[in-house]
Amino acid sequence: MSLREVFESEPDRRYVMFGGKGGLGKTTLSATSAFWLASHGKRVLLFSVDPQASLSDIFQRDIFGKGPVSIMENLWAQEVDADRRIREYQEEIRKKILDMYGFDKVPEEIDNYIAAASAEPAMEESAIFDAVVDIIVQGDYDYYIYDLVPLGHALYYLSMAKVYDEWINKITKLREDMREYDKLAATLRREEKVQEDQILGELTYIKDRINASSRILTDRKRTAFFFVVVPEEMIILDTQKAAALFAKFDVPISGYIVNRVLPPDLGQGKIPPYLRNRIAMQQKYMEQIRVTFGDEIRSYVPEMERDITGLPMIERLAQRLFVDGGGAR
Amino acid sequence: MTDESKERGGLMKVFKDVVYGMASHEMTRHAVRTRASMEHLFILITMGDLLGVPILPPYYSLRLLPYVTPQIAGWKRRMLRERDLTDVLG
Amino acid sequence: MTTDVRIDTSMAKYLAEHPGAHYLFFGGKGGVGKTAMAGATALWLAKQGKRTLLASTNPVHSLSGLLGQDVSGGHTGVAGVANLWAYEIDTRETIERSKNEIREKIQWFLKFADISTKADDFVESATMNPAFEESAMFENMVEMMLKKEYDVYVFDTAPTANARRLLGMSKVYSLWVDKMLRSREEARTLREMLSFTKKKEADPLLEYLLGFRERMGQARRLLTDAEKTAFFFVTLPEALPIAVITRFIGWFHEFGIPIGGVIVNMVLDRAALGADVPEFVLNRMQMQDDHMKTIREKFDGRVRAIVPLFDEEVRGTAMLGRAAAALFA
Ligand SMILES: Nc1ncnc2c1ncn2[C@@H]1O[C@H](COP(=O)(O)OP(=O)(O)OP(=O)(O)O)[C@@H](O)[C@H]1O
Ligand SMILES: Nc1ncnc2c1ncn2[C@@H]1O[C@H](COP(=O)(O)OP(=O)(O)OP(=O)(O)O)[C@@H](O)[C@H]1O
Ligand SMILES: [Mg+2]
Ligand SMILES: [Mg+2]
Repeated sequence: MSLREVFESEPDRRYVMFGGKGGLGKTTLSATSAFWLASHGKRVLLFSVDPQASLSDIFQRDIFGKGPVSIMENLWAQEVDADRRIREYQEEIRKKILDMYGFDKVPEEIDNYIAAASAEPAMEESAIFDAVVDIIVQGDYDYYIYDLVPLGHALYYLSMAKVYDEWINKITKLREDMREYDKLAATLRREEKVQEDQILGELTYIKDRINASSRILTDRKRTAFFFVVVPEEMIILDTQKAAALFAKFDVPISGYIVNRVLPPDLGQGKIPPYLRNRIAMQQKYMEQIRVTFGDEIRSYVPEMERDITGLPMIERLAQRLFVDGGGAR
Repeated sequence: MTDESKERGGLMKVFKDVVYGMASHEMTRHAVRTRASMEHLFILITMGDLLGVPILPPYYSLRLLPYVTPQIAGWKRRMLRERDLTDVLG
Repeated sequence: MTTDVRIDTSMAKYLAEHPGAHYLFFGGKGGVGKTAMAGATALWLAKQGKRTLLASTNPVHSLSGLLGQDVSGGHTGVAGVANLWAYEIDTRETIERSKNEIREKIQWFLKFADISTKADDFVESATMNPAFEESAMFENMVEMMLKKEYDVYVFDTAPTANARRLLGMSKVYSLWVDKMLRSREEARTLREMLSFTKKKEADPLLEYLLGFRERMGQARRLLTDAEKTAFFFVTLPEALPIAVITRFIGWFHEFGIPIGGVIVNMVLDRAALGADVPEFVLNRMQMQDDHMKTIREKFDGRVRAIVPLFDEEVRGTAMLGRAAAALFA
């Protein structure tokens, strides 16, 4: 099945990701797919949590930390600014304290504690994790395209959900035990009912958030995850290893895109030996890719004569990714 | 999940065994105390860094802060107070 | 080769001028050749008679693949090369160690504060934090740096986002530990106020925190010492990798991490291409020329080497030798 057919035949797969080792073209193919879907009338949000802000570079405008920015009709792009997110989170907590107790000022020691929280080592990554939850649970775009960070880091986000889930289960259990004692004390005192534990309510809310993202990202019906590979030996090996790891996190792998294939007609003419060697090397590994990934290959994308920035170049690549290269079988 | 609820049942059973035979008001007092001690533990493991206990509280623990805000000052004092004779006899 | 980029201070000259440079880092966008350049540098240094350790802080290690031998277990001598060892940092042990340390500290505190509830199960939750992985990587790296078992340490880092966090860790942790120390001081004052016996007590938490601060301080001093440390940025003559290292250099400037310079990798070698060059290659060469101009403007005087695109992957010590020859030309 070609990439185009995957999108056409499975319209419910609204969460789309391109994963793979560093620099193989994840951002490029994410932007290209977003462009293609948007130009076919779908409302698309393309987002990234990568502080290296590649979407700004590929669209040649600064969109970092500005929320969803309109790129063209039906296409929005967003780059999450973790620092800003942390500041908003701190503000949210302060406001909640003021509202709950009708204070007009957050008590100093509490305020200091909130302020110092931004120095917590896991804060940035966690804020990013939480921001992604916000983006994907809103659900008002037709497509969400998540431009992933390189492999190791992407796995880190996935495992984060697991760590948080274990943490929240433990804390919740303690809180539930506490409620048992409340109930007991109340029974002994012959009181009617125990006061509702607001903390338990909040813990449930947190648990829901934590699991929302992994729930969506591992949902076979709604999610499509494509690996990007290039015809090189190490990359093929690493991609196979990575696919196994992602499978452990139940990420539904929907196929492989082979990127940066040297145009085969190049080999016809008189070419310098350097290029001849590279073409020969690629041909060898193309064969291996066919054997290894077989009918899981969704598209072959040629190496373009220049790097991909700006909409006209993206449009040209879209043609290659969805039309020319889509004949992949 | 079932494991956990079983454990909880276990905990309550131990508790009931302990208090078996106590007068009702004593039992109530015991339950309230245990509850208070757990509250201390709760704040400690979610916000122990307030007292310089070197835990890295996860991002989400900050969400719990508003609910324990009024208890923090008292909690600090309780955590740092020396046990005196009245505690022991208590 | 594109020659309009000046190289005043080459790699070789830089290292000659910085004889005390014991810690060399290689970073940049995904797939630009960080591992290849780190490997080539380590090989070159070993051949100069320096005892060299090539270490990877990338959670997705690739040194074993680069060298064709398993270097994951510990410092492993590289086959056929005197003075060269390689190691893919393994964080599992360190993570367990820091978790135990935290468990101990909490147990101590529980006793100290006389919390009698059975707590073991819940103490576990305090060791659940996604930051452990990263901080363990950092601690391992620092530990190695402080041991000074080798003349030179060459670090192959993960793509930008990760490396930024890793090296920024000493700063974040310093902030964190300062905050903790302040809380601890406050706690002690309060404790003394509340004490009726007024006896002096040992405080293992304070000792732990002071020890930690000392380690972080040492790490920070090493990482910001321009005599000892240098960070090299690898880029391609393409828009996105250039944009990425531009931001990266800005951050490192803020952190005070000394910048060794910029290495431009995978440059098409005009001379080697010969006369009859197909249009595709001409176009790519044109693109590279355009970006070389940007590189000249942005990194003037800081480019240390221009490394050609070879006709095969950089793998194995023979290829690394070729890369080293180009890098230290
Ligand atoms: N088919 C192609 N033809 C030519 N250049 C390409 C092609 N695909 C990607 N590139 C170029 O390769 C470089 C890396 O691509 P990109 O930034 O999309 O990779 P990535 O996987 O997102 O990287 P990272 O892991 O750093 O996020 C960019 O300069 C991009 O323009
Ligand atoms: N000058 C070069 N000529 C030809 N191939 C090269 C050159 N430099 C690197 N390569 C090849 O490019 C690929 C990427 O290089 P490498 O693995 O060193 O990049 P990296 O920046 O470490 O990637 P990652 O971000 O995944 O860690 C490898 O297959 C490597 O062999
Ligand atoms: Mg990218
Ligand atoms: Mg690498």
